[in-house]
Amino acid sequence: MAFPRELAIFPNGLQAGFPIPGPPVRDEIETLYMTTYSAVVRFLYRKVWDADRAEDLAQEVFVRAMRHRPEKPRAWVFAVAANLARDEARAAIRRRKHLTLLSTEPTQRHQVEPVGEENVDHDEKMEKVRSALAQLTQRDRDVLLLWDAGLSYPEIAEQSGLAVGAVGTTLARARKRLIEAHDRSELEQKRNHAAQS
Amino acid sequence: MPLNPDALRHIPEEELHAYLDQALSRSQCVEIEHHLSECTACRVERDGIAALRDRTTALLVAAAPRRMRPRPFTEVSATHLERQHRRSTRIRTAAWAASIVAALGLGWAMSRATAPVVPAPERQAAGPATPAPTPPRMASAPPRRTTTAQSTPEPKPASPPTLHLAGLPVTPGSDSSRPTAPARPATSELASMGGAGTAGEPVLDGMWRTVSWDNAQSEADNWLPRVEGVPVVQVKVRRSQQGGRPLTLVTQQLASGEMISTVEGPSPEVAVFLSRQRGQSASAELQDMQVGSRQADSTAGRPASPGAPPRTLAIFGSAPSDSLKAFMLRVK
Repeated sequence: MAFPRELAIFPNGLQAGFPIPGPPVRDEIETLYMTTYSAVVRFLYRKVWDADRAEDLAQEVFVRAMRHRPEKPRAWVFAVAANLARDEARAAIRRRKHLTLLSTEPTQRHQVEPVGEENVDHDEKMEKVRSALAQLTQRDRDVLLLWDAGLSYPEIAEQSGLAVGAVGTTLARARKRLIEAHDRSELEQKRNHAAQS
Repeated sequence: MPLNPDALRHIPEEELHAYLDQALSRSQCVEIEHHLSECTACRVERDGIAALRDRTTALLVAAAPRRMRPRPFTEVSATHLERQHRRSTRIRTAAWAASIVAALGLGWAMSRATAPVVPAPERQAAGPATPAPTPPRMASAPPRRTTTAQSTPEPKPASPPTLHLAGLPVTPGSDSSRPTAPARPATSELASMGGAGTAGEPVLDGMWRTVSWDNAQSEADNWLPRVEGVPVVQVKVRRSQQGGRPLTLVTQQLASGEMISTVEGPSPEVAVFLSRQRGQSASAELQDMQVGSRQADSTAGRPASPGAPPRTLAIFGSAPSDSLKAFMLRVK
């Protein structure tokens, strides 16, 4: 039955065609928000590499979900998140070009929080993962991140345009390359340390 | 399946990934597990892939924000509602501002056609407010033949009044018959696709001239339809394609700053004009206008032009159609 979904929070009323006050059932998007918010933020963060921006974009994803009421909400939010991240990346490139036009100075990373020992450690690890991810092809990276976000093979296939059978192959390659790239950079770092001391 | 495990094909790497990712069907899993139980090489391979998988997951865990500040869901729904509101407001504004063509088309058999010289005023004097109402007619209704009167003037407005709507085909009276003057009240719907671009500003097509009030008055036979008691901002006149009385467009500004415009002219031209007003469809009731008498007055003494097309009077602007209907009643 095609009732306005807005009424769906009152299932009793839904039957009758008009809302009867009853115990409101949690909106499905709210449930989705509760269960996938952090996965969406992580997914976005691995694309935009800015925590605040990732959270803003995640918020945007769910606001849009409220409007669109997607049929497959989980897959939908990650698809929209990927699109937003892509737009964001394009905008960032434009900004960077603009900045280089304005000044030749390298853009400085702003550090908002005081950096503690733990944070340095975290940042170092993250930097390695980031550069390892950057060495993957776009497709391998996308599939890997979607898998890590919790999407199933068929969902990943749909979003990446791969055949379901190809998802395993792509994931196998992506995992291997990520680890290889990461180990390479660790090795280089050790060598550099050794050379310094 | 061969019985000798060595002869079995080894499980491809990607299949082991899919197996560990639980992306295989139950039967595929059974098959793989059966093979694993008998093939050491594949078991080693599987353990290697499991370790690779775990390391990948562990690495990716590091690639996450140090902390998240999830906002309450109410913020999401508030933003959603706000946008929804803005969207609907935008649509409403468009539907509104973009000239709700409350086309109160009041067609009337233009009385300029009537009685060559004297009779019209006399008739009006006899009973300006007494014409019998025509039953409501829908704009989509087929055009009805204008009731005509004999050229011999009648002492009373005995003939039934006529109503023409914008866009209705016109059956002009034959030479011997003329439409009677007093157009009479009726209520009808006129649906019109259109709407001005911005806040009630009419979209002008053709050669409109801005004229002074006095000039417009004289060009329009001393009858410029307008809403009484509302300051007139602009008067524009366009020559009618059929000659004779021009199209007049009187724009007035309400106290609220919104503009409303009254357009009057031959029905087909007014209909075209209204359709140019970009925007939404609007409908309005045709009102009991009692303009027949004015028409008659204004054209008294003019040579008859037999078979003159009906004319339409419409109001449109950035006001709700209800207001426009109310304004229609105040048209002088």
